[in-house]
Amino acid sequence: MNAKQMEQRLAWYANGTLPEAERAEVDAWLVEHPEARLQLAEYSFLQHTVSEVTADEPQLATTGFDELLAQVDQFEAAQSAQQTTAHAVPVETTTNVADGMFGQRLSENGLPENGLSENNLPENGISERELSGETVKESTAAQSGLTGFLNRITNWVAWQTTPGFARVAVVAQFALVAVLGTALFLPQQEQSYDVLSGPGASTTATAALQLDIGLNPALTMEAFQALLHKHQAEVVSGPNSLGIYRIQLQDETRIASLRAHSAVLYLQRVQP
Amino acid sequence: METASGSEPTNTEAITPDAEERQWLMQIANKDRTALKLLYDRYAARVFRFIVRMLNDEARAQELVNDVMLEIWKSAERFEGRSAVSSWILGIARFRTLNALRGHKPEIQGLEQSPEPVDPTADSSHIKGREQLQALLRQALQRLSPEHREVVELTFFHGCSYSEIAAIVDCPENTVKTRMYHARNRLRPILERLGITALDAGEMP
Repeated sequence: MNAKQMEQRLAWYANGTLPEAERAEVDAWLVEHPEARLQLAEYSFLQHTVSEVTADEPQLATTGFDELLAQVDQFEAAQSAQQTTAHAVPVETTTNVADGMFGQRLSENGLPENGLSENNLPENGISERELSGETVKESTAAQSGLTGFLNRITNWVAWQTTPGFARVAVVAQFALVAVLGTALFLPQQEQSYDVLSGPGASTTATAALQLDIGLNPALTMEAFQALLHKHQAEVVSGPNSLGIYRIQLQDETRIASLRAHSAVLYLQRVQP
Repeated sequence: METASGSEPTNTEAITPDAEERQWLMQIANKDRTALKLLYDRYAARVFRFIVRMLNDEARAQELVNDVMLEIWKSAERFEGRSAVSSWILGIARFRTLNALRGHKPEIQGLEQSPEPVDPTADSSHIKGREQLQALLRQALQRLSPEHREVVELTFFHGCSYSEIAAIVDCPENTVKTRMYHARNRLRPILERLGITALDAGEMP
């Protein structure tokens, strides 16, 4: 152990907090180095000077604890308010409206700093009433019905303290979501294509009264169209390789008339 | 003159992490204001002395004492008992003080920057006695850097061991010893006169 290390222990040797083993080492070192006792005397003098509170030094104010209690009340009230807002549950708050026991008017407003609950107020020791004199309880019991529910919701989202533009933005977003949601769940009209010929012929067409018709090859297109028009018929498909058309009739009674036409060589009802 | 062992708590009370103070903290965690009062009575004056000597601002020190005690009220449930209660409280006080010191730069000067520097070559006959020497020493103490001064205050006013100071200021023990060593070197011009005075008075141990 060198001299510097020993010298660095002298301050705590002087204030009496050096561990026993180190104290013994310093004792031995001081015996061997009597000149070091001068340094020890300096530290002792320093201790004496520092530990002394002179008359011109300021003193702690006697109202300090009263002010502290006021700050504690503010803190607890803020915590209570914060918790009420956060959870939107009915709580019973105790609001001090009188001068405190120590002459400090207490406020129920303050800055929330953590999640302490007013429910943690002491059951033992000094109660808030004892510390603050007259108190008035404000019951904020739950309101019933829709109004109460809405109030709890607005409290929960801190609606009253939300800036106007933010309220508008929130309402607009909710409206947009509602419109889109409604549109999403409305019944949709399916888009489909009706094929009038070929293997993928329209199921709508095939469900109606359909017939296969064979015509005189000498029948002109104009005459065929006139025939269809006369019988309120229309071509569904065809002609196939045999020259057969599939037609659809609106009126079943016209089958006989159609069959009787001189240009119709073949007429066969299609079975659904 | 009153001393740290007078109306203010004794050093013995301060350095002992006794079960009583831990019990108070547990009660404070349960919002027991009686326990807060007991802790306030024991520590407020010490905390105030620490802060006001570091800041040289009485009004601000009064505020900061309550800031510290309110912090204790809020944080008592988080005290894990890994350090002494006194170390924990003084650590809070130190943190608050250092924050406040950022706005008090002009008050903190080195001895060499002092408008009234201590003259080590002054004729020792001008020093009439211990009281004058103590006044001179207090003046010099106020001009130490915060890091040096807090170590001196914690050692000699609050009676902390170097390991407790290391816990309070959150640095290695050797750093605490080194800071004390440098603080003494800065005060040496005055302390050396003590040797002369003490020797003259036959007070040397």
